[in-house]
Amino acid sequence: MTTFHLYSFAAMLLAALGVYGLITRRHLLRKVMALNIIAGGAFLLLISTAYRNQGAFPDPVPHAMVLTGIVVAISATGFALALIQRIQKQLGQRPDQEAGDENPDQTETSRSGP
Amino acid sequence: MTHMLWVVLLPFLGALCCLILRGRAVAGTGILFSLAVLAVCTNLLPGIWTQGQIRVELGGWAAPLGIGLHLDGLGTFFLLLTAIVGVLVGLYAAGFFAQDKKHNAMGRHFWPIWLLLWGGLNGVYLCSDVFNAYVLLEVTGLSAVGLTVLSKTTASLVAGLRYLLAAMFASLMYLLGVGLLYAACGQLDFVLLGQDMTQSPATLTAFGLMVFGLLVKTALLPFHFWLPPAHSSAPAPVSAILSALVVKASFFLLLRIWFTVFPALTGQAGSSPVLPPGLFLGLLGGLAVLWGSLQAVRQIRLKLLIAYSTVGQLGYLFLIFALLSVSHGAGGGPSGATDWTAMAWTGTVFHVFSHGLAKAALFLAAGCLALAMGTDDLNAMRNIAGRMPVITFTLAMAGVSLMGLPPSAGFVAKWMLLRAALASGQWWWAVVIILGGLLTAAYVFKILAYTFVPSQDETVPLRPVPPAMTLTALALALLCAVSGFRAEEVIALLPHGLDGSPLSAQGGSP
Amino acid sequence: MSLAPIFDILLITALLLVSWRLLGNSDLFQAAVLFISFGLFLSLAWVRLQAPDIALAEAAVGAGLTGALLFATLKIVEPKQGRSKNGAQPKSCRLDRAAECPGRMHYILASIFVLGLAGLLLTAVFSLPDTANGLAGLTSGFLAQSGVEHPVTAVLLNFRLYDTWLELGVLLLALLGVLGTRDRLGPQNVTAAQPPNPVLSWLVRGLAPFMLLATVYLLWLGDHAPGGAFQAGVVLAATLVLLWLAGLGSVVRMPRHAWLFSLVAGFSAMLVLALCTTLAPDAVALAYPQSWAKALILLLESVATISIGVILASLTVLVLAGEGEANGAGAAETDGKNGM
Repeated sequence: MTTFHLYSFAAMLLAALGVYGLITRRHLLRKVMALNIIAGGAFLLLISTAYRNQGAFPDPVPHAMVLTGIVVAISATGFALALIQRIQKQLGQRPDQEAGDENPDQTETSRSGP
Repeated sequence: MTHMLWVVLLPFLGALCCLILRGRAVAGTGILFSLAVLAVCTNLLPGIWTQGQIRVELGGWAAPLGIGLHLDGLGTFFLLLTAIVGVLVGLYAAGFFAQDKKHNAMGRHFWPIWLLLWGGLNGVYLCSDVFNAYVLLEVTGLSAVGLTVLSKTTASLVAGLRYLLAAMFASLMYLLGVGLLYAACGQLDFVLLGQDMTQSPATLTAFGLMVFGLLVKTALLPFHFWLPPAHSSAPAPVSAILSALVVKASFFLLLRIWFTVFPALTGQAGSSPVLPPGLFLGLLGGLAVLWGSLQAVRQIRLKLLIAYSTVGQLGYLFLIFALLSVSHGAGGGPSGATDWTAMAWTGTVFHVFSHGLAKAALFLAAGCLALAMGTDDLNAMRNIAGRMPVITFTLAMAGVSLMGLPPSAGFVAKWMLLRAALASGQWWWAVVIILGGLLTAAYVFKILAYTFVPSQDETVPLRPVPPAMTLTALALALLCAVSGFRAEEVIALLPHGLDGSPLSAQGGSP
Repeated sequence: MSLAPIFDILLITALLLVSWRLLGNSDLFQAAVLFISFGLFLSLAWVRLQAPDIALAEAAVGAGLTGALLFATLKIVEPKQGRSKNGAQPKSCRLDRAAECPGRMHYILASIFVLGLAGLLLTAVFSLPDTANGLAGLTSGFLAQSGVEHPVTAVLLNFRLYDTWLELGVLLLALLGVLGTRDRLGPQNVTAAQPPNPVLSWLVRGLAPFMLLATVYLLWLGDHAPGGAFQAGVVLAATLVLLWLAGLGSVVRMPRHAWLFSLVAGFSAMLVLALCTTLAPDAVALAYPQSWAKALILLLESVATISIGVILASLTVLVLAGEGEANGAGAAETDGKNGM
């Protein structure tokens, strides 16, 4: 088991875990976190494969790709969170909307963990 | 000759100008730049016509190291569609966002985001690099969401957020695929990857992930959940852009990934897999045609109906994967095969074109109706045919094209697909196409029937609609009808570099 | 040497455990804390895998900025009283397609799908060759001609400049999207929810010059060592956000034009380069003139740093301030029934 294999396995497990979280978690914030975990998995895959070139330095192309990816991830996350705030505000103004949906996090977690 | 980078540069430049300018100048600048982009796109046409395909290495670094741009007949089609719809929607938007103060505020944000989106879309059609495609997907995805939520109604915000989460998920799946692909092949260029693609668990998984991501973005049946709310709750010009253009970009990338990057896996390069993956996509596409159209028939809100119609019409696009996978799987290609391969391609491209124009026309017309009536409820459309004849005519013309009746581009598209299905011996796709056409007819007639209902009570006053809005919607519908007569040119332009014939990327030194 | 595998296994276990817990934890606040530690563990992994550039960025963004954004949103979305049983006022917000909670079937299907996915992914990774160098050889071969000595900077600012340009576009789009939902044209006059803490102000006053110095240093470092525009930009953004929290100006007091120009500076600098190289008769699109490469890259990087810093800071400030007092009246009136 090389370092590369160890980390790329972890990367794949992270990605799968994130997908599971995205599907089963219902709270929007948690969905955003799950997406960030998938992103972490994808980045870890890229960096661990770059590490295979155990010569002078790792392959810089995946490193550049991950840096780009991190920027994209923070942009999308920031946008998503701003949207969540706005939705919350507009739903808060009209509490009659989506009534019967006031079980914040308990139902979600009363079921099994991820 | 015009450099192809202009089609990305100009919209971006326009976006910056719109961002910095204020007041009425914003819309004027936006339209000016739209016209310029259209001019550049048409200017690229002769080059493609004579050379077949053009490639540019950005920064002077040849493909494996740098990023290449690659334009062929297929890309030119998408560029032109985007430009035509873009200009007309831009003209419409100038009227739409001038309605009142609230719309003015929206318009200020609309123009920069839309021009950035346009640049991103054009970038996709030039793209020749899997990672570059990821960044472009994010550009188009974020800007599409930004446009969706412009109206700031709760419905549009929730729809926009769902769209954003789906788009993020899709592009992350795509990125995982890119990571695996790069790890296995060590390069990122479409053409170079396609040349030495081999079958291994890594490349197969990469293929699956990338296709999966793009399917979510293109809203193929089980992954369509984000589309109807987003497309129906956005402001009218945005709905037109989303339905006519944005979903087509990810479909275009899917075509590239399928036929250029992975020819060895999709049965294009002679080898015939046991179960062609194209068949699966075709099946989902067929289901989407039937289910999406059925849902459209059931809607009573005009915009939601049109949005579901998009889900159905997108399904037709996926038939090409099934049609072509059998073509090559059936071995070696007898002389007749190329004939209907070309037919399938022409049909698909024509469908992209006709659906883009017709759907934009429908959404713009729906926007006019909503402006006039204050709602887009079908039940409110009393005696609209008598009071807004131009809009009713637009709805009918666009509907004719969606149904696939002559004379229209939609007719050519469905006729070609039908012939390709029959000629290749896959008659069951023909059944799907015809059934889909009937269901489409059902919802188009449903809309028209409501417009002709005579009003019982005293007529509700209609708000005046600026003629620019009505006329652009009409222009799109007419264009859709007229372009049905120009099938030969399409066929002449298409074969270049379509069947995955790789173009020689000069490797090595910059 | 023999300690490395133990470290690897511990780190990976920690990563997986943290992400498992943060997805399953009942308390969103704890989940957000775990999310920050996830970012920190991830940056440890980047250090271990010889990716110091990314470790810097991840620690600042993944753990720092994203964490702050999450906490700010959490405070708005799930205020303390919202967790009481009769949550009539503030609803937890979520994206429900159907009103009912996912049933057991939903979980079983999700598990099957994810297990399949995981199996596929693991097989794929297992089949990858143990050693491969991708484009590393090619990159180092042309490094001398790129104008910089650090390969990652060479890839970002020269070989794949187009991607970096588009990436700046993505950042700009995210901010435009946020502004679009806020009925605003900029973060001008946005104020923090709480009045600035005097101790914080005093601290930030002392810290800010050093952080600005760090920005410049990171920027300069990118030429030949890990660092560069993005890392420098993030530090700049953090500085600006801290200044705002301390009530000391920052992006909210920038004149609109200065703010706008620094916003688009990075994107438009690359646009100008693309324009010039496309217009010039014998130039290659997006290629630096050979002898100017080093200077131009430094220039582009500095401008990009400012843009990244200002965009990220504006984004963070807007999200941290929340919807509340930004302009409640203006936002309320747009909540019409019909946005057609």
